[in-house]
Amino acid sequence: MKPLTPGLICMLAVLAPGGSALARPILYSHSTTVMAEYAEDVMRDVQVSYAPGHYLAFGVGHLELDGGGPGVEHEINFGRLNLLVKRWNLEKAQSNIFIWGGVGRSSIRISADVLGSTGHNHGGTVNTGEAVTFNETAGNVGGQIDYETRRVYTSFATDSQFAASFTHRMDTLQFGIAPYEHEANGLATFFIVSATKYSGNLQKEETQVAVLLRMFRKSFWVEAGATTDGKPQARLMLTF
Amino acid sequence: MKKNVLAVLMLFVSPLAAHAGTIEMKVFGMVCGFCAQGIEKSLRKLSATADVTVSLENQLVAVSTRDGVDIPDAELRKVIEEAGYDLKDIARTNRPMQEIREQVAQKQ
Repeated sequence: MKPLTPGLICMLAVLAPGGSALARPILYSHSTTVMAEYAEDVMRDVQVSYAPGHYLAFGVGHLELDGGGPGVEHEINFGRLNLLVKRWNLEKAQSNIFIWGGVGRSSIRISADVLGSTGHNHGGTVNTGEAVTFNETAGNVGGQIDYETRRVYTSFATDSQFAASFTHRMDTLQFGIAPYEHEANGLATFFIVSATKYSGNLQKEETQVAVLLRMFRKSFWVEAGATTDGKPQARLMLTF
Repeated sequence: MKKNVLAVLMLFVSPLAAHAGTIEMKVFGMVCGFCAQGIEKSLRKLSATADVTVSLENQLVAVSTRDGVDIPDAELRKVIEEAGYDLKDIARTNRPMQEIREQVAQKQ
């Protein structure tokens, strides 16, 4: 593994953040969940998890981060544990506190073209004109608090990816309203406003606001929309 | 003699009389189809379960049981709580599941 030099860290500072901000990390006991997320110019993410109980789920995932521009690829393969710390069951509402954490392998590949165009010396570890890949162990921690009824959804989630050479964090606040109250076997529809603040040394600090349509029925959950600057986002979840 | 015969008959009849066919539970915390699905799947794993229906509007989980078989309250409570929800009340009724489903459908 080649160490990241300050020059490369500066160059990677335009990388966009990633991480899953799906609605709920654990669904129900003895369920297997497949989740996928797409956010243009930000990330792609696929996760598979199994919940042996309603308070615990473990799984694996693959995360791809964009934003480094052409020639820069950042991938993280990880294992993750999700815990339901506390649930409040009210007559017509539910509130939860989740935490999660995991470890994985981060891989950043920078093409020869990108390295050549930067003109950095890279501390003598990289020869200009050669593509390089940096592999290192990465960690992930996060948490979520939510409150929901059949009419209202609110949540706050924080998610951090980190390694020796990088950190990035996403803080997401969501608020949603349903035009009607769905029944157990019916289609649920929510209009969601989502605000995400990105920070860390891999990207410039910024806040993106997205408007999303969320629909779910039985074992299928989908959410799609766009940020206020027109970048599409989509998430889907299948449980069985 | 008649009293003895009656007592013996009651021994056979009472387990059936205690079971009214349908168990209706008031459950708190159900706010989505996934909640209902989790509870339904867990209850269907019980050998005594014949059918299950859930109403989010009524916070109702109804279970019909196989002929002559009941599900003890403790087992019902365990299933609901292990699914992540709070069981508030259990009532054994004679209502057919179809009637419950129709009532739920009317409220949708």
